[in-house]
Amino acid sequence: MKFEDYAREASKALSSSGRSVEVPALSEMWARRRRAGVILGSATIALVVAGTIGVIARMGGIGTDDDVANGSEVVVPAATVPVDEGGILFGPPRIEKADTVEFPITLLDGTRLTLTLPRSLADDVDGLVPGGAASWELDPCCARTLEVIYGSIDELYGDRQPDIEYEDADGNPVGFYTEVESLDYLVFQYGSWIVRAWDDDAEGQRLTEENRERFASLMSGHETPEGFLVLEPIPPMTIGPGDGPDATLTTGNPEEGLVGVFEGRDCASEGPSANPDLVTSTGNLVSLAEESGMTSICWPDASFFVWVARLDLTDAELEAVELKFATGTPIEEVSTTTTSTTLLTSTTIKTSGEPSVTPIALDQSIPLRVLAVRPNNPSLAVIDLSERTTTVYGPGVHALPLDATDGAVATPSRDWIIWTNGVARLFSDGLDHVDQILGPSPPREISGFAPAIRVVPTPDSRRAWLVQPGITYGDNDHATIVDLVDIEDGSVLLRSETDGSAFPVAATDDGLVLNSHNWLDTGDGFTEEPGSEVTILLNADGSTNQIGAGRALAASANRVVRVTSNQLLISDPDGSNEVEVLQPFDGAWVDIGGPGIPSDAMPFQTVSPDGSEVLISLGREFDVNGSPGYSELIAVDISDGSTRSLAEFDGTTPNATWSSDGEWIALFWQDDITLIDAFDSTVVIPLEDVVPAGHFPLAAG
Amino acid sequence: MAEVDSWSDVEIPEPFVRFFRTEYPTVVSLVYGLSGSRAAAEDVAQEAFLRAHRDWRRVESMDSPEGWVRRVAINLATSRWRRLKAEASALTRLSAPVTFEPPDSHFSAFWDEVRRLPSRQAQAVTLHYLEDMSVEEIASVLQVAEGTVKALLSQGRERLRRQLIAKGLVDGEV
Repeated sequence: MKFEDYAREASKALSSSGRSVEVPALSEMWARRRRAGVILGSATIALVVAGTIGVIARMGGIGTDDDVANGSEVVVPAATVPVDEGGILFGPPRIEKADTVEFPITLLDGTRLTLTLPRSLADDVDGLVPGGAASWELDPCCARTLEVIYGSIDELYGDRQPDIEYEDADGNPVGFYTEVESLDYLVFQYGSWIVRAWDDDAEGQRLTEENRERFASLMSGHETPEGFLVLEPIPPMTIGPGDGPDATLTTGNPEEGLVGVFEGRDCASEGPSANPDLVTSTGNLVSLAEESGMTSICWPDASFFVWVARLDLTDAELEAVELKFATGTPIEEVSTTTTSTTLLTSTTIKTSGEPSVTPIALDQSIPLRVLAVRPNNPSLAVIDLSERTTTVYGPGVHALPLDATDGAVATPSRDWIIWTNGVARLFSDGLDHVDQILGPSPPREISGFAPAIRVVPTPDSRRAWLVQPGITYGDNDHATIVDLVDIEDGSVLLRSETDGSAFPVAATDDGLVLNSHNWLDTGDGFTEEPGSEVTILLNADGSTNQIGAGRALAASANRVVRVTSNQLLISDPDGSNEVEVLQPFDGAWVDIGGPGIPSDAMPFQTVSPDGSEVLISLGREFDVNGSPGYSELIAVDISDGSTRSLAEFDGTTPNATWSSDGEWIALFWQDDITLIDAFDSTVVIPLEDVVPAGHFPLAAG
Repeated sequence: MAEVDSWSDVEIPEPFVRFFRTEYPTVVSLVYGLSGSRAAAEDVAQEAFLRAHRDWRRVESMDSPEGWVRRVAINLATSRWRRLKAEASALTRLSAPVTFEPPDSHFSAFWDEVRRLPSRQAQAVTLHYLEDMSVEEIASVLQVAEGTVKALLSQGRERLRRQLIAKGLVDGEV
C-alpha cells in the first residue's frame, strides 16, 4: 500500500473510532469532573467527610482592623475552616498588612516560604492544601503522588477497618484500604493530616505487598506547631513535587484552587519563559493564559512559580505578588512586626538533612566518579566507583538552587563545577555545601535564545573559563563573553569577548578552544554555513589565534583534535605539527564526533588522563532517521594519529570517559554504566541500575 | 472561575449543545491521535468543551469555534503539567467510563509513529489527515504561519513515510 493510501485509511479508522464514542450528557460530565477535582487541573481530590472535626471559626487574630489601617501588622494564626459541602480545610496563618497579606507556608518537604498576595486576592483565601510525591531513588517501582487531606482517618473512613495494616518509620499504624472510591490506598495519619498514596501508578502498575510494606516503613511525618504537615521520610525515600501545585490556596473547598505554588519548576520550562506578557516594576514575569483563565507569575532565576486562577489582576496586584524563602524564625515565633526573609535569588542555599548512601556491587575499586541529575525534581547523585557508593542529594540536601541543573564538569583534580541559571559553583567535597561561587559576576544576561553558560576547567585545575555563548543570527548580535577565573578564590583573571557564534570545547595549557562559524539563513531557520567552521584559541592574555578550519572535538594540554568535512586532524594549539588520522576501515565516514552527544556535551572528558589518546566516535551508515545506524568507538593517539578500536555499537556510541588512572573506559546509558578495560576491550564490567531512577549521567571524572 | 453548584444552575445554550454533540467525537479522535491515551482523549476533550462552555459567548462569536476548541484540546494534550497529572487523570478515568475504542492494530501503527514526531509536526499531520484540513485551516488552529504548516507537513510526512517503509507497512524505498 502506498503511504498516502495507508495514511488516509489509518485516519478513516481513527475517525470511525471517534464516532463510536459515547457523547456524555453535559450535566453528568460537569458533575463528574467536579467530583474528580480536575476543573482547575489540580490533583486535589474532593474531601468527603461527614461532620466536622473540632471546627474553629477563623479568629480575628492578634490585632485589630484598626492596627492594619494604622500600618501595623496583624498576625492571624492557623484555623480550621468548615467547607460548605462538608469537611474541613486548613486555614493557613497569615500576616495582614495594609495592602497585602503574607502567607508563611511550609511545604511537605519542610521548605518554608513566604507568599505575599494583594489583599484583593488574599481575602478570598480560606484554605491551604499541600501537594507532593514520594519515591525512593533506587527503585523506580514506587513513586506515588500523595493526596493530602486535612482531617482524621476516623472521620474519613468511619467504622471501616483497613484490609491490611503496616507500620510507618515510627511504628505508627498505616492502613491499606481497598476499593475506596474504586481505589486502593495506603493511608497515613500525621497530626491533623491524612496522607494517602494510591496503590496504582499512572500506568496502572500496582505496588506489590513488599513494596507497600517498604513504602510504609520509610514514611514519617509530623504536624508543625503552626499546623503544617511536614513529611520526613527515611532515605532513600524522598519527597518531591507531585503532579499538581506544591501548595494550593483555596477558596472555600479543596477543589477551588485560587493560587498554586509550584516548587522545582522554573520560568523557562513552565512559566512565562523569555516572552512574558508583562514584566512588573518588581521584576515579576507575568504570563496570561486566556484559554485556561490563569495568570502565571515567576522570577527569572527562581525555581518556583505561582499560578493564579484569575486573569483580571491589575498591574498593582501583579506587582504585589512576591515569593521568598523564609529564613527567619518559624511562624509561631513571629512577632507582630517583622519576619525575616531572603529573596529566592539568593546564592546562599540553606540545606538540611543527610544524603542517602547506597553501596554498589563492584569487586574492585575504580577511580571514577559520575555525577547524575534528576532534572525536574532537582536531585543530584554521585556514583563513586572508587568508594563503590551512590550518594543521593535530594532537594534541600544539595546546596544548589532547585532549578534544572544546566551542566557540570569534573575538574582534573576531581572537583565538580556545576552551573545553574548562569551561576557556576565549585564543590570540592560533597554537594551539600558550596566551596566557591565562581561567577560569572554579575551573571550574564543575554537574550533567552542564547545557550546557557559553559564552564571549562584548565588542565591544571587552577583556573576555569566561564563562557556565556553569544548569539548572532537574525537580528541578534551578542558576543560570546568569557571570564577566566581563579578556582581557589573566584577572582577574575581575564574578561574578554569574542565572536558570538563561538562555542567552547576544551582548554589547553595556553587557552580556550572554541568553535566558530557563519550562520546561513535557509528561509526556514538558521543553520551553520557548511565550510565556514573554524577553530580558534582564546589565549589567557585575551588574544586569539586561528587553529585551523573545521570544528574542534577535544583538546589535551597541548594538542587540539578537530574535524573538517572529510578529515580528522590533530595539531598543536597554534595549528602547527598537524597530523591527519587515517580511516581505520574502508568506506565513507558519515559521521565523526565525540562519543555520545558531540562537543556541546563536553563534560565527559574524552582525552586520556595522560593526554596521550582521545576517544572518537565514527558513524558509518545512516539509519532511516538520519542518525548513524552503526558506529565505532576508537582511541586515537594524539601525537601521531594512529588508532585502535575499542567497541562497536548499533546506532550512535554512548557518552564515554576515562577513569582517572587511564585503565578503564566508562560508557554511559540512562541507567547503566559499562566499564571496559582501556587496553583489552574484551574485559567488560556491566553496572546495571547504578544510576538512581529518574537521574541521568551529566558529568564524570 | 465561575462557581457552579449544580448543573441546574447553568444555562446551556442550544447552539453550544449542538456544537458539543457535533464536534466532541472528532476532538476525542484528535487527542487520541496525539496522545495515544484513551482516557486522556476523553478527559482532555471534555475539559476543552467545558472551557468552551464557560466562555461560550466569546467562543461563539469567533470565526471558528471549532478551531478554538481544537487548539485548546491540542494545548491541553501537550501540556506538561497535564501529562504529569496522570494520577488525577486516572481518577477521572475511573469515575467516568471510557467509551473510546482505538482503531485496530494495523492502523494504530500509523498513529504510534505520528506520536513519535516532534509535537508540532504531529499536530499538523493529525489535523491534515484526520480532519482533512487545508494548510490555511491548520495554520489557523495552530496559530502559525501557513509556510510553517507547509514545512511541518512536509517534514512530518517524509519522516512518517520513511519510518513506515522501514516497518514494511507501506511500499517504497527509504
